[in-house]
Amino acid sequence: MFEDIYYPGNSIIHRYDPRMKLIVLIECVVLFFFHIPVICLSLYLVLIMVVLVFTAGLDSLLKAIKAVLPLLILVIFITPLFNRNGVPVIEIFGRTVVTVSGILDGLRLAVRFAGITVAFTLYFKTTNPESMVLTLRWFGISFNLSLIITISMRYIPYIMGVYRNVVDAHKLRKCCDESRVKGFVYKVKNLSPVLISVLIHSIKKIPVLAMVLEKKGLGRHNKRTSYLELKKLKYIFPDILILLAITAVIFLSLFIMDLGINFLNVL
Amino acid sequence: MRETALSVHNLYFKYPDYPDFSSRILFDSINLEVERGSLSVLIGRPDSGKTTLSRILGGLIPRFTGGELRGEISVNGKNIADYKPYDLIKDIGLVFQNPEEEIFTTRCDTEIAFALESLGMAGEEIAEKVENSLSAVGMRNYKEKNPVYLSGGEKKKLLMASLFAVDPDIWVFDEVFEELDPWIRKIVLSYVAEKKKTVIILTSKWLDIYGEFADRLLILESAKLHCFTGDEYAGFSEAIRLYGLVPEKIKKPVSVSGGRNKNADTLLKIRELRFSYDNKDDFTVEIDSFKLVKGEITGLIGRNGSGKSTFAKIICGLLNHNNGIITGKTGTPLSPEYLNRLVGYLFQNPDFQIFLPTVGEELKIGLKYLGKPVHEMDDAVSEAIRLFDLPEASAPASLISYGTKRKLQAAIYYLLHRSIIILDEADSGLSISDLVSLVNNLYSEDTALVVITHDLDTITRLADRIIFMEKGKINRIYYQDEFTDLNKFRSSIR
Repeated sequence: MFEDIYYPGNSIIHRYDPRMKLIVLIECVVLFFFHIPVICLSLYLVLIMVVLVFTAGLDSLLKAIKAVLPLLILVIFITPLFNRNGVPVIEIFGRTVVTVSGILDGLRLAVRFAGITVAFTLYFKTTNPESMVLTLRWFGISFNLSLIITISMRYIPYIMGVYRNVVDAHKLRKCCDESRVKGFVYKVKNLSPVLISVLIHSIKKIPVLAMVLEKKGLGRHNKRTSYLELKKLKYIFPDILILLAITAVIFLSLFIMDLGINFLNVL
Repeated sequence: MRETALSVHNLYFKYPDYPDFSSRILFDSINLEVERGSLSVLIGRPDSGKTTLSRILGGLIPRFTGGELRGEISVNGKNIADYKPYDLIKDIGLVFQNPEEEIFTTRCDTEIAFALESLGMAGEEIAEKVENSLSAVGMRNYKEKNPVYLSGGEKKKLLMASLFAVDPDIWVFDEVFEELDPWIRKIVLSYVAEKKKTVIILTSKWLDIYGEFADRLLILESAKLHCFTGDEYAGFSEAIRLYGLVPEKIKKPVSVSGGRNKNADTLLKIRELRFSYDNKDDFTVEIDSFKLVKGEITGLIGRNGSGKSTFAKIICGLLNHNNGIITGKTGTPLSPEYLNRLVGYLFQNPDFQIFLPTVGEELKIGLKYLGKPVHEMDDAVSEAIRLFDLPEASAPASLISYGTKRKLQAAIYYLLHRSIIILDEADSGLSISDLVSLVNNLYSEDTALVVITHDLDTITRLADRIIFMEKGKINRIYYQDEFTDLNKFRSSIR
């Protein structure tokens, strides 16, 4: 069974206009790039995580975090080594190795990265691919580019499905129970034939997909129409208001945060 | 004399050669004139080139595959060499044999609408056509469903609906009908005949229902095309037997159990099994009681989407059941890992099971896991190639036909001596002769075979018992004396 990136539902986030949702997503990404205290960034992250759990389930959140976890760990441990200013935390033979500032930098980067991941997950989980194409086209992106993006969206879970199928096919040819066999080298060694098989399958898919697209008329010179359409702007007035409210809250929170930081500095 | 819709003159085709593998000439001086409004059925063995021919007619080959093409093909009077495939979509439409290759959107309605959008149709017109074409294949309620969650047969119906919506002049179906329910076959073929389109059905397996609708029968054999009009039906019947596409007589393996032998050794027993997909909450498999015994051939039938493949995947341990118990002959519960090694499962789509560079490597990998010495492996591979009529060991596995891949799947499990073997949509892409010989090759007194199929005619002649599944449950089990009369049996499951 191939999993879908989109998580069907009828939550407020699902029903929210995809164009406005995309703007909110961009605002979230920008927000995570602001140089604000880690604790504040973490609060934003927690807020988005809670929304994701309530709209697409805990499993969606765990899968998203699991996918980037190695990178987050790497960032947390490597970043402090490159910023040794400020109060020392670890010193080896009189040399400062890790500082408070370095640790905070590492945490900030990790939270930033996790925040962007969770925000994108929330967007993809709650926006069906058809609406996504229409949104991209509404913002002026060509049909072909929008199609490439949505086909990628379709094929990421497809390739994951192929991977599982190939693993299953290997399992059915094995002669002993390997479920208890441990060892990193063994697992990596066993992974390579599977990955090669998936790669071969995916490469084989390219000309077939090109065939199918031309067979369905992609490339014709006449103007392309659309079966599904987004609502006219005048019908999404509440959605626009929500966007404005979210934008205002973001700016307000940044402003309050800035005031608070200045106040603490004065003290 | 009716107008010609499609003509092929002196067609010659050969795929490019690859290192250590020379492609054979697939078509040599093929000529064909297809009259407008006629329905032709073209039958040929797996690897005879049916899929390639259909894609050549659609202008897709050699455009995307390379190869040497000679001769002239005109569709609606247009020489296809002068047009791109997207310019021909109102002239000729194809439904691919493997639906996984063709479906790429995330909703059934948008899958159908894509080509209509390319044609520049208005939104309302597209909506109407989507509705009508889904109704024509009995999938009206599937509009917003993700095709990923459809069964193999349902996917084929969706692709037929896409073709009906575009409504080109010539319809080409590549091995589409085998995986459909017999009653759906009749509905769809009646719809096709009613539309009076020019239709070409490519198939490996002769279904009697084709005889009711076909104006012309064609046999693709050894790179040549042999034509028979309706008047020469007797000659055609003789020819398909002559070319081995239909066996003289279905030779059934000598079964030791006969379906009701209570003393036969039990290989697997299921009690109170319950299964549901995490992300497909409207579908569950509920099997109260089921067992497989040595030397028995079980037919598993049911409508598209009734849960046959899901049930098969539970039996072989690829899907974990939520409740219930699967035990072996001693009554001990069997783990999924154990089931993986007890049961051989021929996936419905062989592309997901065949992934190594050559036929020989595919056959050898399981033997390597068993730790067989090289000389024994080579001997076993040679034997399997001969027995299952496979291409040479060095042949690239990805280039062999769909039907031959199915034979290769079977050969893999033949070499692994699995106690239970499940053939999912076993007959898809295979002629009846091929299916029968495949079952005979896999059968032994110590093996239980489960054959999932829509071909009631063949399965009633092969099986010891037939299980009819409906909505994820075993609706009824039929024993040999209950399906000797095929018509009575057919009407009982309708």
